Amino acid sequence: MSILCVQGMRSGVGVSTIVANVSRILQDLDQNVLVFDLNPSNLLRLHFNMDWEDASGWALNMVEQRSWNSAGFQCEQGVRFIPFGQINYQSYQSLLTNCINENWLIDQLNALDLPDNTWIILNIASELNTLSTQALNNSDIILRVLEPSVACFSQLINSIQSDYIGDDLSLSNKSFYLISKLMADSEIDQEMALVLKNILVDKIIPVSIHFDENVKEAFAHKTTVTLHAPDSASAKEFRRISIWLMSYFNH
Amino acid sequence: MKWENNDANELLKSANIKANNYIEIKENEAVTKIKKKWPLVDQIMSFVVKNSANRKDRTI
Repeated sequence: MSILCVQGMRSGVGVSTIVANVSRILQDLDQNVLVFDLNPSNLLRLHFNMDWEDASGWALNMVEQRSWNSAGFQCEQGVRFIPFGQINYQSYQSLLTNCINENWLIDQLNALDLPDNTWIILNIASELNTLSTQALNNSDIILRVLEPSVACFSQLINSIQSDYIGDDLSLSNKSFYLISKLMADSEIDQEMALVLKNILVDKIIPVSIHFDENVKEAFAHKTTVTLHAPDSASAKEFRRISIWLMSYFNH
Repeated sequence: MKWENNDANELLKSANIKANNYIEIKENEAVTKIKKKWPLVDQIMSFVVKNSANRKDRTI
């Protein structure tokens, strides 16, 4: 199995959108895909057409002492998805402290006994905790998402400088950076993208996701832009990123 | 699903990754112009340049 971990440099940069779109494209390319939401914001489920009021998910199952993986389901497009679930802050902290030991994630993934050609896509929060650290350490490739903004640039430098995610993972062989929400007609966006490319060189994926109203509309329709507007520029960019990921693993 | 992928080779090339244990800035006209224009960007980039020099000093 190939484990892809997607993390935002800061929240709101479009991680759940990227995970939802890439997973569906990989599934369309006859890959087996399992998406595991490890982000307590619990937003990813809305890209997979779950009811807004549906609080189910693996974390809620654990809090209520039920089997965590029974929260998973297969979407219409074939992607298998395990939502996080709606739990409050106290329950989340208690879960991290009392239920998630240091090998919890990899033990659970191995126990799922998935076929070898399965892609496991982990959606993690930008903040570090027991879960996100395990996801970063056990993944085969880390995709760190950033907007072409000065705020993200500042976060990036701090993150590399302080070795925020640990073990020099920021610049390790398995870490790559993806620019999202790039506005084609914004001078500062274009210039910040240039600065990021200058610094990250071959750590940056050669496809950027441009800002596109279709992405917002797709979310409002509870679907992905690759289904909602397949000919849009962003849908094409998501396809190119998926091909890049497949190339990376086949190389 | 099929699609045209004229850039497949170009994309594949970028999967050849070289390990890098520090970051640096390649000074060029465009970068200088950006630094002059945005003071906060200039501050952060100056920090990177200073730190990159320190890292190189340590490895020599």
